[in-house]
Amino acid sequence: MILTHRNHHGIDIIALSGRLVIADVPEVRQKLLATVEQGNGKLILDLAEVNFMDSSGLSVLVSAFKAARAKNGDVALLHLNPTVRSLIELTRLQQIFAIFDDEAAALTRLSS
Amino acid sequence: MSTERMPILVADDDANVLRIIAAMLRRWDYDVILARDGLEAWEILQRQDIRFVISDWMMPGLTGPELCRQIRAVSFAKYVYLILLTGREDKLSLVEGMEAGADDFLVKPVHREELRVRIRAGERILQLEWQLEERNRHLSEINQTLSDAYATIRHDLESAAVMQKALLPSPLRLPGVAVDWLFQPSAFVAGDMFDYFVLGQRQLSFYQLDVAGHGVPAALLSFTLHQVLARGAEEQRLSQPQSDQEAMVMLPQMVAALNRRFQSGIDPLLYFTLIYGHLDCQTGQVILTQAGHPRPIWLHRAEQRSELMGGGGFPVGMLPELEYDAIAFDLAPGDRLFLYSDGVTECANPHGEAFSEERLLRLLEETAGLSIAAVAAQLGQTLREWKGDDQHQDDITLLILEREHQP
Amino acid sequence: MPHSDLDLLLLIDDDVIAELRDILQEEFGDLVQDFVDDVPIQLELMQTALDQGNADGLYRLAHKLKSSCGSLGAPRLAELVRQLEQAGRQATLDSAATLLAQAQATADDTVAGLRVILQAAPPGDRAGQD
Repeated sequence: MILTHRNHHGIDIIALSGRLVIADVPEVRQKLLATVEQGNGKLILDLAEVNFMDSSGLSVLVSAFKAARAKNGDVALLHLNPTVRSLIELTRLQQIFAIFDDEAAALTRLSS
Repeated sequence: MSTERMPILVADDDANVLRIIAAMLRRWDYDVILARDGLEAWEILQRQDIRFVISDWMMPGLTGPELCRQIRAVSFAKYVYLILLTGREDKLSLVEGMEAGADDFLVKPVHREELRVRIRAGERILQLEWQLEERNRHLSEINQTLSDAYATIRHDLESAAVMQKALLPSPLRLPGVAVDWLFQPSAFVAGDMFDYFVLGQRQLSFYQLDVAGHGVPAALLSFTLHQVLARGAEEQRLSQPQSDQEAMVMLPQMVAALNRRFQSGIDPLLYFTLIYGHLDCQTGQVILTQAGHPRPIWLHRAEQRSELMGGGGFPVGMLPELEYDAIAFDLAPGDRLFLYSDGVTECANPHGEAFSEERLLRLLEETAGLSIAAVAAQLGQTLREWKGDDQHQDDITLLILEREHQP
Repeated sequence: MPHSDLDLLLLIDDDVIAELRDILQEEFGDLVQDFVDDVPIQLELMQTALDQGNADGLYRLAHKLKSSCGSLGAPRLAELVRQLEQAGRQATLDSAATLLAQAQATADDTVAGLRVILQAAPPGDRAGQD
């Protein structure tokens, strides 16, 4: 699991790549929570390069979401591939996360 | 090494040489033990704890190299350092001595300073040997402790696995309905759990759940959930049977109540996916609520066609204040309903390729002519072959409900 | 080793004697006395072996005496005994007879020299008496 992090006008954008499964959970969770902690709780997770995610991986996204909400922030998911999208839909998390295929749209949503 | 005087055994058949070397060693404060030939030296070594030997080469009875070979042949508890004294200077004899296992050589007559330096070198080597022995002893103690601990843990886990298996229901055969299953924990104990129970005259309640993660933490929650759901079923048994409309409302409410009860904090996030449903054994009507669990499969037996059911739902325990819904459909006689954990569809082959919903659907269609027990066995076999071994990464559960042809 | 080279070797090595005295202290006298008593016996045993044509016996006796001579600071005698050991090993008994005669002469000189050392007071004591 590889993470890259950049900040765009106060919005943290983290791109994940590879498989997000139970073994990666501690590292990714720590990184996401630290980012939310240090930033202002506005987070975009770019999942374009995530080719597989299991239910443990899902829990990391939800942990980040809870932490962001605690700071009155939000988490948007960007670029879901079909596998990840079907997992998100099975668990109805599209009702929780704002989901975008376009980074500009995600930035607009989070800056409002 | 202790601060006591180190004993050194000196073997030489020349009394003069013995006397001179003994005098040197005593002056350097060693505890000197004398042997007049190789045989006597060998006897002493077997009786006493001696780790340093200086031996003449040519002695009647047992020569220096022979003594050396005997020492190396038996494994004394501690390493014995051996210096051979030689009157000969030729290299061939040195090779012979080395092959016999001597650590060092001294040419006679023995010079005081040379002897002293060689003994010190030997002591350093013994010191290292001793440290190595200590370390090895320490390591083997740690090893023992670890393997004892592992044996205890293994025993506990085996007991837990037996308990978990005991919680699982037996295959069931009711008028109109048969139930069977496949259950393969990835470790000793699983985060997967399922159960079913008959309510009233004709209703079969069933659930399958999968606690996120696997192994002991997941199993602890799955044990708890089994208890909670069994108690819930007991309460339902005592109350009036529900109508279909009531069930459509009650099942989502029950899952929402579980979701309220099993909220965890941000970190670590412990949650589970669940399907909870009813099957009317007479009409074949299924009502079920989904909570993030893989979508159930409905096999239309007559057409040998399978279908993924429902639209999903929130996993339980992930987020508070969520609402759930239920779906209803009617199994025709001969139809089957399959519930399974994601360990089935995500089971990866050596190339990392997942078994997938598609392959599962095809297998269930292709095995439509087999008994449900045979289908469960077939899936187990197929996944073993797909994975290449028995060591599954995640728990594997398949629950099969069949509405039988009317007699 | 030719005779001329043999002559280069000390009859008695004073350095070794001094070292032995230092190492053995009061035992030094006993050691030298035992050696002085033993040398003629060993040579006589070698003579017997030689007379009997027992090359191996000669070899063993010479080997043992050689290391004593070396240890007690009698290098010239040690060298002769070494050559005797070699002759015994190679069973060249004719040269052994010559060597043994030479060794006996050298042993007499060595023993005489050691007796003198025995009778003299140790250097330390002598210094104490001054």
